[in-house]
Amino acid sequence: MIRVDQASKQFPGKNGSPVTALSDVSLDIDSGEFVMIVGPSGSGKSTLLFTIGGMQHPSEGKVLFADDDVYSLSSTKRAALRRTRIGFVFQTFNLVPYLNCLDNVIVPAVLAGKSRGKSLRHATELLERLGLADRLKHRPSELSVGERQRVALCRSLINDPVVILADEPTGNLDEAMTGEVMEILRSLNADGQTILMATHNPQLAEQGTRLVTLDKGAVVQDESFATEVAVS
Amino acid sequence: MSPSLWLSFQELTKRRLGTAVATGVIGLAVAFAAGLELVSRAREAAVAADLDQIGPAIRVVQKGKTARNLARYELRTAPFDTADLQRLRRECRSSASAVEGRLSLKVPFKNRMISAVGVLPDTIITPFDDFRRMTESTVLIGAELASVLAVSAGQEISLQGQSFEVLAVLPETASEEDTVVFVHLSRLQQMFKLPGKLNEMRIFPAAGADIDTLVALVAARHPDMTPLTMERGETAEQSMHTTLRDHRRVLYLVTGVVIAVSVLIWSYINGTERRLELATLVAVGGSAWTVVLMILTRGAFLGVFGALLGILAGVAISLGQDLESTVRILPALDLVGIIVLTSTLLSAVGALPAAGLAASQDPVKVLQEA
Repeated sequence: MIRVDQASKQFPGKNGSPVTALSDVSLDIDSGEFVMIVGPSGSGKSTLLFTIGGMQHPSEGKVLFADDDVYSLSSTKRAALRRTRIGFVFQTFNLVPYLNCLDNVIVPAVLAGKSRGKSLRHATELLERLGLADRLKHRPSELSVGERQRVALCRSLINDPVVILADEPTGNLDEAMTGEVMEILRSLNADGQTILMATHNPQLAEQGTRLVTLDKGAVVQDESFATEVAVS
Repeated sequence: MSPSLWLSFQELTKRRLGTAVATGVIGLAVAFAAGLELVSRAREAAVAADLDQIGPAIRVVQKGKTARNLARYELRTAPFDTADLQRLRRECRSSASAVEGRLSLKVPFKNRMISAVGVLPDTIITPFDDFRRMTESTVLIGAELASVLAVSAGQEISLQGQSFEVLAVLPETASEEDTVVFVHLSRLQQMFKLPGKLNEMRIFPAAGADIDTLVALVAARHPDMTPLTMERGETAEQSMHTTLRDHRRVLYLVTGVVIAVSVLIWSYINGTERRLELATLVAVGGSAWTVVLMILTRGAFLGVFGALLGILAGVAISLGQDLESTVRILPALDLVGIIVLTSTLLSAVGALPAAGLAASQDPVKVLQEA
């Protein structure tokens, strides 16, 4: 479904020499996988997610989404791909502070030109499903951090994306809230949702169906354990 | 509703303090411009009305007399009478607000010849209230003549051997009337044994009346009369309008710059504060164009809100002005469209640099820094 083909990314460093964020990364991600991307800080986890998500042009290599070469598309078509086939979740939630939960969730749907009425109904269903039925009209500042992340998850799901790209989604959460969010992600994955999640927490890494370990921008380990997760 | 429109509307209606401050600044600028325009228009109308009262647009004299004769008040003869005045009033009824008769004659005073002008206190068209109090035993003296002859109010003077009290010295008008003495018309006619006689009739055109048509009518019906148009008032008015217009243009330009700069600063601060929000918008499927449109739309909305607020405030401010005239300040509906359009365009232009900056930021960098 998603193929990363020998993708590399270099940034100009402070002293003029390039800094390598990704180094010859190749991955094939199938539908329904829950891929955990782990590695130390600066290992290229976020860069890989943004590259797959059509936001970070690789210096070399390709990213194929189904059969589309993401970076041969125009920026407008890449934006369309992000809003229709990808859902982003961030460590800092990045909710719009002056919008309530419902309006935050429908932002990608509004960008996709969907009807506001239908989008609000869908957003309500998602928020109810994630336990936020009594928070629909609350603003982010009135929510706990765990609730904010659940709203952000709803926002990523509003356009029924092919894949969710979650960049350290539990990085700002305590243990209990981390457990809640991981439960939701596992549940979504159990329903067939493809998820790529970057984390530096080794305990969480085991909760996916596949583990990809990065170091200095290169894939150093790629291990699938779908059966174990399915059993648990 | 387009995404940009929805997003800008959400922000403007939900971030009320920021919206109120930006709208208030634009509103103040627009109120200043709208108030200035309305007051200026009314002031111009008031001055025009005053000038109309100081000098008539048309003076009707005996055939053969010229403007030069009039300036020196050397009419000497009295060819018209009250019947001519009544006839002219009837003929000009539809296009004249008033027709006034006068008798201007030279009289000796303090070893020199001066012009004595006979007028009727209750019919004379004048901005000076002293005329209303004039009686057959009192006179009014033009400012320049009073100064030259050292005459002041309350003094007794003698004209043609008859005694008069100087009721008042008139304010300076920068016209030939500064050099004349005004006498009650009936008294002047008696003094010179010219009962009912006149040698000048003044036509005051009604608002909107065409002066040329009126002149042509008088000339066609009265071959014995010469209608002369007065340019003094028109010239003064024209010059005043041109000067005021030039000043106002500068003030409007300054107002426009204030609006554009206000929106520029507001959009820039707003865009800087919201870098993460804009980067997230791109991540969840917005394009750079969506961001640009959103910021421009927001600027335009502020322009509309500010303009409407400013127009209301401007009308209120202008209505509170005392023009010292009977002319009223009327809300000018023709201004609404142009002010709203100009304010909207200027606000959108003001938001352009901030939109450009927001669109050119690297969303990945912003998201990673967060």
